[in-house]
Amino acid sequence: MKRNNLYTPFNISLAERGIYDFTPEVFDDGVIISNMFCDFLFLSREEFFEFIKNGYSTSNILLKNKLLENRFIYETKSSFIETSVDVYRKLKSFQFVGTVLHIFVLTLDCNLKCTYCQATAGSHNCANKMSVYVADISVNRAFETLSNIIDIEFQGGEPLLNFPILKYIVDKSNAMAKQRDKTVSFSLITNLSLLTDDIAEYLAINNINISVSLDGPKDLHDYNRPHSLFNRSNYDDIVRGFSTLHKYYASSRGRISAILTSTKKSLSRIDDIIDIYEYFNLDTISVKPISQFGLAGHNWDKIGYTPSEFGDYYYDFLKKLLNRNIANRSGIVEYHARMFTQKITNKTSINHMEFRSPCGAAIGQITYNWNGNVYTCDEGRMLAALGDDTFSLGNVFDNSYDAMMRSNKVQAIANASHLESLPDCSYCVYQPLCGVCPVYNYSKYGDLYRCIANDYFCQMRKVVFESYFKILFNGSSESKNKLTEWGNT
Amino acid sequence: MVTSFDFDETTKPENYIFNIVTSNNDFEALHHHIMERIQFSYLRYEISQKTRTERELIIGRALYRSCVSVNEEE
Repeated sequence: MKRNNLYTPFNISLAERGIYDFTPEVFDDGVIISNMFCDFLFLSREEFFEFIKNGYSTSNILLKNKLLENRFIYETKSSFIETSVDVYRKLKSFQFVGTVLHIFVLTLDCNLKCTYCQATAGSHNCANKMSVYVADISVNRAFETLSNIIDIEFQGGEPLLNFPILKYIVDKSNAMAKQRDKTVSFSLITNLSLLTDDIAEYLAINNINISVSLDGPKDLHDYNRPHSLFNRSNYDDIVRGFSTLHKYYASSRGRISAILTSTKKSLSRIDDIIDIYEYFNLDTISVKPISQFGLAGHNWDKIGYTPSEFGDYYYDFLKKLLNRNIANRSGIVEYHARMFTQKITNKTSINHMEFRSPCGAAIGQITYNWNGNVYTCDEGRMLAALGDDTFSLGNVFDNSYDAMMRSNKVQAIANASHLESLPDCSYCVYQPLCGVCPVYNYSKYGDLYRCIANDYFCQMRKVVFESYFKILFNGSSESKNKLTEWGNT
Repeated sequence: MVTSFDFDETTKPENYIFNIVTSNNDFEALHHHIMERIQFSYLRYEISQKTRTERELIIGRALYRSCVSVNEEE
């Protein structure tokens, strides 16, 4: 180990060595480097010092090709800049399309009382439902977006408790999309407890994507997601619901997927969870930590975990999924790992609101509450449910889409989530893949900008990235190949 | 072995906070770890200063091309 060399300042002249901007971080026995083009490389310590010392002039041809291919060194500056512009532009193209995701909160009522509910739902008093009047104006506002593609997502509470309004919004949006030459798609987040044949048929005909909350086997799922009024099993609802959906979705363009929420009890149940997802023929699992909003914060002792516990869980989850893929036992992919691969290998502009810089608040997504109030994002709406209206942009009656987008709040949030200019984040090797949540920062620290390296949010992100790169760089060749293949699915 | 190391440099230099957890009191490894972190921070700062012009050119041109293509579509 050449430890003594480490303490000497590098004192390098980058331009002379054809080295471009990069971020280094110690990773296992070597160094991981990244740049603004979402290129990542793992170098041994010897390779890293050779790179720093000689840059483009290195005599190690293998290393040189690797560095050139990934834009860490260049031969001539002008042609490097010229060819890199479009890669960067492609990665950031989500910034130029306007708000794509429009979340409609059809009701706050819910027939479940989930242990981690972020929407602080659970009531069943029929008072908090979106009216036709609010729905009508909200759709008009949604169609004021600059984006030619509009994705309307129905959320709650349980949105099927207000199915007539869902139908109204779908029918009106389809008509408006035709008039204005836009493309509209729909997603429904549901617990399936209220699904009937008529509803399933309507959803299938209108190609509505279905996202079912499914936490794993019956005991785990029902522990996390108990009914609020009746002593019945939501898992049984899901079994019935999937069978009804499959009847009608055979010829629909709508996709059926599921959302996994992992609690403390999930950590030791990875195989059981994957088995259930295979049983229901699902093709994706999104393994993400619970957010601390709403009831989750109150129940943290019962359901929460530390970042290192979650990191071990995520790493084992990825390994088990990849092993099943390699053995052809399963075709299920992990959502985040696929997204990272797509960004790294294809430079695809992934419009995932939580993993982009600036974050998607208002400029990527907008939330219309049941009563017509508009929020930057669903997290902003959740905070409002707890009594803090900071992330309100106004309401659909008084404020146009344009006026809301030009508000100081939207600018402040975009600035606060711009990782490239946040002190801790800008120097982080994982920054090209990451994103921050100003609502989280504000609710935890009372400050939009207070993004502290190594706080809970940051640590949760880091353990996920570390697990992913541990497999991508140091895993078996089959695992690496499979992970790379996921980027093309 | 250093299992956790947190260096908070957001406060004044005289108030630097070190939070170190080691599993075996290996202070040589700890020293190495700290020096490496400081050196990498310094390197990152140096690189970022020296490549500022190139970054501005790339971001500026990307922005220009995106705006031009938006106008063309209109």
